[in-house]
Formats: sequence, C-alpha cells, structure tokens
Amino acid sequence: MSADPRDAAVPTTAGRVGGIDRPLELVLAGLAQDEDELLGDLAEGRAEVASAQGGRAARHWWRRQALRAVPRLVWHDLTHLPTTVLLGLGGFVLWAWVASAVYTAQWFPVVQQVYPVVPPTSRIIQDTALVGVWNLLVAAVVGATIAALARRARLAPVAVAAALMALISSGHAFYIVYGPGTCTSTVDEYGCSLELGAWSKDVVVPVLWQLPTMMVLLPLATGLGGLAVVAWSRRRARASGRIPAGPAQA
Amino acid sequence: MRTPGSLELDVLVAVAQHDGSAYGLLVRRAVSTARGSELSVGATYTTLSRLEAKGLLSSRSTEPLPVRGGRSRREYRLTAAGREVLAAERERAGRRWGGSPQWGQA
Repeated sequence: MSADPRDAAVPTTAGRVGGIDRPLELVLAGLAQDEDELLGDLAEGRAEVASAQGGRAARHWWRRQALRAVPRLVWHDLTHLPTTVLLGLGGFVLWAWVASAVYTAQWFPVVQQVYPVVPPTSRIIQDTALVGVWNLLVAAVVGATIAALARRARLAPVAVAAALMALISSGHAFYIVYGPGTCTSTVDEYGCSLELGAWSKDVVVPVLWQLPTMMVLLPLATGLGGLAVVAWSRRRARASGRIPAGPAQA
Repeated sequence: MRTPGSLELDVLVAVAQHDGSAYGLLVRRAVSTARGSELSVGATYTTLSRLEAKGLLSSRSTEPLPVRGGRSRREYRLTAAGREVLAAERERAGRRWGGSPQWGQA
C-alpha cells in the first residue's frame, strides 16, 4: 500500500507547533495567492533547519520568515490584485454606513449623541461601551464579508479596510464623548454643536481610553472576521482534500 | 516592458540555472549565495510571482510531497521573454565592463 504524501508524518525534529504558529499560518494562507507554494517552502525550509540545527532553531527560523513575509505579501497583493483596494474601500464604507445608520433604528438602544452639558461619567461609559461593542461587531462582520467576497488572498482587502478604520479612529473614534459645546436656537430649530471635550476632567479618561483602544480593536475585530472566513474556507478545502489534512508542522 | 530590477535579475538567473526544476527554496538558496545576504522566503515568493505576472516565467505545480508537509511545489521555468531579458542583460553587462581595466589584479 502506497502512503499518501498528504498523510505523511513530518520530521519530528522540526519541533512542535507553538501557540503563535497556527494563527500565523492562517494569516499567511489568507494573504498568499498560492498557499501551497509559500507554506510548503516554509515547511521544507523548517525541516532543513531542524535537521541541521535542531527544533528550536527551526521554530525561530519559521517564525522569523513568516513574520517577514506578512508585510511583503500585503504590499504584493495591493499592487498586483486590483480588486484588493476596491474591496477594502467598499468594506470600509459599508462599516461606516452600517455602524452609523443603526443609531436611528427602532431596535437599537437610545444613545445620546449630543450633550448640551457634560453628562455623568456612568452615562458616558455606558454609551461608549454600547457604541464601541456595536462598532466592533459590525467591523467583524464586514471583515468576514469582504474576505468571503475576495477570491484570492482573502485577507488583503481586509487589511485595507482595517487600516482605514485605524486611521479614522485616530481622529474620530467616538463622537459620543465629544464634550459640551454651544446650543443655539432659531425660529425654526434648536440644536447643539459639540467639540472634542477633552478639556473636561470627566471626559479625559474616556477619550484617552477610546482613541488607542479603538485604533487597535477595530482593525483586530475586522481581521478576526476575515480570519474566521479563511479558517472556514481552509476547513472546506481540507475536507475536499485540496490542502493537507493536518497543520504543517515541518 | 520595464527593465527588471537587480533582485528580479538574480532570481531569473537562478531559475535559468535550474530551468524547469527551480522552486522557491532552491531559488532562495541560489540568490542568497549570489548576493552574499540571506533572501527571505517571502521575498522569493513575491518576486517569483511578480516575474510570472510579467510573463518572464511560467510555472507548474508538482504532486504533494511529504517533505513539504503534504504540499505541492511550484516549479518555474523561463519563458521566451525571460530568456530575451537575460540575454539582453548579459549583452548590456558585457558592453559596460568589456573595455574596462582589470582593477585589483596584480
């Protein structure tokens, strides 16, 4: 009986797969246009290093090569897959639209977006958390959607959308914590215009907390949504025998 | 077509040396030796892919191999356009260095 190479045992000298290796392999699979070529080269190189220098050196070699490959792959996909940027931009617009359109929906809890006076801190935290969780949820769904729509290098458009979200979060994370501004009334209408209220000690902490947090969490949520689709598509490919049954440990 | 950069030329030369059986790791090793500095797996992969998109290389996938954890190899060979680029580059280098003195030789 001839052994199927897909089921072949990988040299044990390559060392065990560490905690970071699996997600990193998933990221590479999501960015490479030919997963077999890239991950196969990494696996073969790891086995070579393992037989020459041992499992620990092989593990370090694999991680170093994988981490160095990520930005190159993103840039390569951006410059060689024209749909990548379009899909990423589309995802960002979709996120901005869904995340903001919902505030007028009947089913969404009322969030006070305009404060004539500084509200209690508990109210700020409550609204902040509500909007934040909603934004993150939408970001994850958008990440999954654009990854599902991309035919190759599924994570590349996700990276574009995530980068735009991080960018906009740096200056406009949560308008909900904008501080007190001025209220004006005319014959026809009454309205308040607000500015970033970081001068008030009541909102300094939420503002300081939100900006860096959302700059990190929004891209992370988008990326996790995209990774979920990559993992799902790989599971399907594995079931149909198009990629090896087990994780590449070599 | 734009003239290939120095890394792309080195990769083309490495593929030419193993024409038909050149694949990522082999090319990486050859280019690293030629340049005297280690080329990353990612850089090799993206350069090969770019050269194929430019029509200078063609490729085919092998059967899955145990040494690669059950994954296949992508083997590259030069296209006619790739051979022309290498020939033109060799001629250009010959013109540039042909008449120059042998510096550093006793």
